Amino acid sequence: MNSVSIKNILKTFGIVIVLVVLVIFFGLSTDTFFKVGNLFNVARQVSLLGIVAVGMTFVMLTGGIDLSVGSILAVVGVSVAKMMVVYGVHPVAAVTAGMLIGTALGFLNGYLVVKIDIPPLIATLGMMTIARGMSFIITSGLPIYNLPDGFQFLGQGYIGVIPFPVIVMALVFFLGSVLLNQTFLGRYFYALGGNEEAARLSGIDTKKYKLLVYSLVGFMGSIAAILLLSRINSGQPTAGSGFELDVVTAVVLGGVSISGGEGKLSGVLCGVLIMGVLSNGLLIMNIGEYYQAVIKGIVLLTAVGFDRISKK
Amino acid sequence: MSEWILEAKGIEKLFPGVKALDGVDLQVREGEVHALVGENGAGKSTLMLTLSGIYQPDGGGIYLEGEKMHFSSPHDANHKGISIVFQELSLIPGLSIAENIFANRQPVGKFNMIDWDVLYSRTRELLALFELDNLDPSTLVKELSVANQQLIEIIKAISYDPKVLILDEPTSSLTEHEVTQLFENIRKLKKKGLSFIYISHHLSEIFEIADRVSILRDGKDVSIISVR
Repeated sequence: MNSVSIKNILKTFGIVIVLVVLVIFFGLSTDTFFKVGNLFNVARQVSLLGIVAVGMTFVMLTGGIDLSVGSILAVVGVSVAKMMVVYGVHPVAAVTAGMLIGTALGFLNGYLVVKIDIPPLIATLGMMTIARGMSFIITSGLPIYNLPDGFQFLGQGYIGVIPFPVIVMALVFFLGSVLLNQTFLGRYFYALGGNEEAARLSGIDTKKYKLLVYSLVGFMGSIAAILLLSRINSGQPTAGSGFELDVVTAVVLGGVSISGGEGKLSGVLCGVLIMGVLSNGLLIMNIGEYYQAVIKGIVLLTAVGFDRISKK
Repeated sequence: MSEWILEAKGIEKLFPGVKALDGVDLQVREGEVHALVGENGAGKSTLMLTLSGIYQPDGGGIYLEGEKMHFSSPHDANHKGISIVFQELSLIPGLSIAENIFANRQPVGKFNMIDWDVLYSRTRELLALFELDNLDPSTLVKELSVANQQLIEIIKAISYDPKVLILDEPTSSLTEHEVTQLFENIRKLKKKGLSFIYISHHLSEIFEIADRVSILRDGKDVSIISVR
């Protein structure tokens, strides 16, 4: 029993240790990393990643995956931009419509997985391509500028000293962990990924909850889409390219099992912060983007490898 | 009120090309352990899966306390009084003991949130029945020994307060000592009026625990033997 709990501690805190080591490393090797402004910078940079990572955690807990989040980010962003700029729709209405679009695309992913029985990897890969193509069609391949005044607040504004997207991320993590740990629904996500057959035999409507989980990640993708649109202040059809892989990396770093049923949001938050700290720290150290990619990949493999070994 | 707590009359089950059950009768008394034996392919599993609502019979009827029953799912059968413990464990490894036992019916409190205090105290009561007081209800199932997982599965089945409990090869992963313990628990529950359908390959076990034995061959019941 004792050795089990030591392993558990390692498993739970392994990722925290990685984060702390990285923070100390960058803190010591650069002058600027530890400045308050920079730490808020890190938080703001990871906020979109964090928001979508919560949804991705839900999906991955059920044993699925969603590769379409990056493209959903783009298609929701350009749709909202076009509604506001070209058709003069009120920002509140446009944002609401954007969220509906994102959620609907997520629902469609769920439908393909649950009803048509397409494996999640393939279903969302198809959606990824479709949504990316749609973004280019909607914009004719060109960015949409001249968003309404005041819209920039969502992505660039502050409440007190805290950037608004960071507040949104904190809220999403808080609500996400309440949902995951304190309600039926969250526990069902674990049940679905842990032993779907057993869940079904217990009378849990597995299909309904899978549909819901894909809709949820679409919804969270649309929140991120709107924050991103506001931050870059233009509707870019290329927005969020490769974003899905960053999200999956953060979630896996955070200890969520790729086969489902295991993982915690606290770990995922660490995974998200590690991604942010790495990007930010390497940037401050003037290490180029190409090297950053290599280093991120190595960190992912090391963290997961460490996890696998500590489990044995 | 019928003499039998559970009666299956002329159960038929067809699979493409095979008649897996061909008019099987089975009668179980209140508070007895009724063993079901037969070669592989004799129809034991099919009969069990039909009694527990996983399969729908193609003919015949299931009567619980004399009343004809239709089970749309195992979940439905659970609620109507027949629970089953599978040979293969059907627990969720990443959830706790308590959550597994009360899967799909966790007590909830304010804002529809899970009431952990109630959940854990109910689980402790159930664990105490099996002298598993040393287990913490919040322990994840994957951290338990296989034998304890099996017990949790039985506790889960019993928590529905069934009239008939079906055990499929329940001793396959247990040590001798654990088997003895399981049998003690079965006897205890028998005294409370619970009936068992007990499937096993081990004749010695059957002679130890069963009151009567039904033998199946080629999808038909061929004889009933009283052990006691």
